[in-house]
Amino acid sequence: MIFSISLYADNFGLLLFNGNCVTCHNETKSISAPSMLEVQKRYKNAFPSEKDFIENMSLWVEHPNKTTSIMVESIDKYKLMPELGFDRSVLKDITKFIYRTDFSKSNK
Amino acid sequence: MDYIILFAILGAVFYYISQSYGKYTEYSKEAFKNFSVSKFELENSELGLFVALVAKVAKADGKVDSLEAELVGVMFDDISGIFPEPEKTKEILKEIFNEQKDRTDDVKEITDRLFQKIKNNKSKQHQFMGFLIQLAFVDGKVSEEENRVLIVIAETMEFDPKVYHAIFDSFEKNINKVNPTNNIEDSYKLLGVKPTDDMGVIKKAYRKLVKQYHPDIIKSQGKGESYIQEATIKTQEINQAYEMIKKDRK
Repeated sequence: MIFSISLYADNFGLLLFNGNCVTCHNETKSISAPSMLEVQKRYKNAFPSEKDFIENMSLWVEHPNKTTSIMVESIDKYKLMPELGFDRSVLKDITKFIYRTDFSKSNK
Repeated sequence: MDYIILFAILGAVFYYISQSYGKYTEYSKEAFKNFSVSKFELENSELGLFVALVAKVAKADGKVDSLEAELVGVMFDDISGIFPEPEKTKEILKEIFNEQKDRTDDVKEITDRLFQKIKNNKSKQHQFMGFLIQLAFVDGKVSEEENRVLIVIAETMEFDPKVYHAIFDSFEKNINKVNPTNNIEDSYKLLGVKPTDDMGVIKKAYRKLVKQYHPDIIKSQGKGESYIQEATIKTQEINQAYEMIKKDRK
């Protein structure tokens, strides 16, 4: 597998992403949770700028909540995402990686 | 009394190592200058196999926490730095890590392949084992799953259980000795930053210190048993100071 990451991605975001997110969120296929590709698309539609994207996604993931979700139908389908216990600054590093990565190039 | 036994065991281990393997085969740019960097070569090299084991220990408890990610990230830099094509090497190491982290069925096989390569080098076996143990301790305590993976690795590398437990216990004691900085002022001082600095500045200072003091698997070669432990303690202190500041600013 050639792992395609953006040039900006640092080890930290990548490691945390691979170590924690992909267990449920496959890059391209929605299996037990919406795919990263899907999540990224939906968030980029709602929050086009990187700053807003990071701000909002990290805020939501810190305390997942159906009422503040922008993907309610996914919660109905896959249930609410569990709280991971990462603090906000770490979540910001991960969401920055998510914003900057082209998941469509991931041939997983 | 416990201490005396522990020191006696560690002392004996030390003596044994220094007697049998006075000459270390160290990792250096010079030693790797003819290494042809490819996934196949790296996967089958000592350090590639070691990265695979690091991945398994890091993910054993189902989660890669932030300090683990920080340390593994720096480890990629340390290892790739001695290879002819550092950037390419780093990308391949990341791939190896990523592929290996979720596989638990081949811990024994990977360890055995590594063991065959370092069979005659007790010092390397100890450095690798020490590094893996400290990684398991990084998030405070070793989980059952982490412990299980470590035991399989130790057994496959034919560690005498007494020796393995002596190393493990000594880590545990040392980790428990880490004094959390009691107050926020000390935390700022330890990181060399001011309370008026913004989080970006503090994070930068934190990362710089981790980079400077973390347990470096390359530099650890040829150093005594205590090196990784001391580096682990220092890293824990830096991390606790950083966590305290983050909490305080919430």
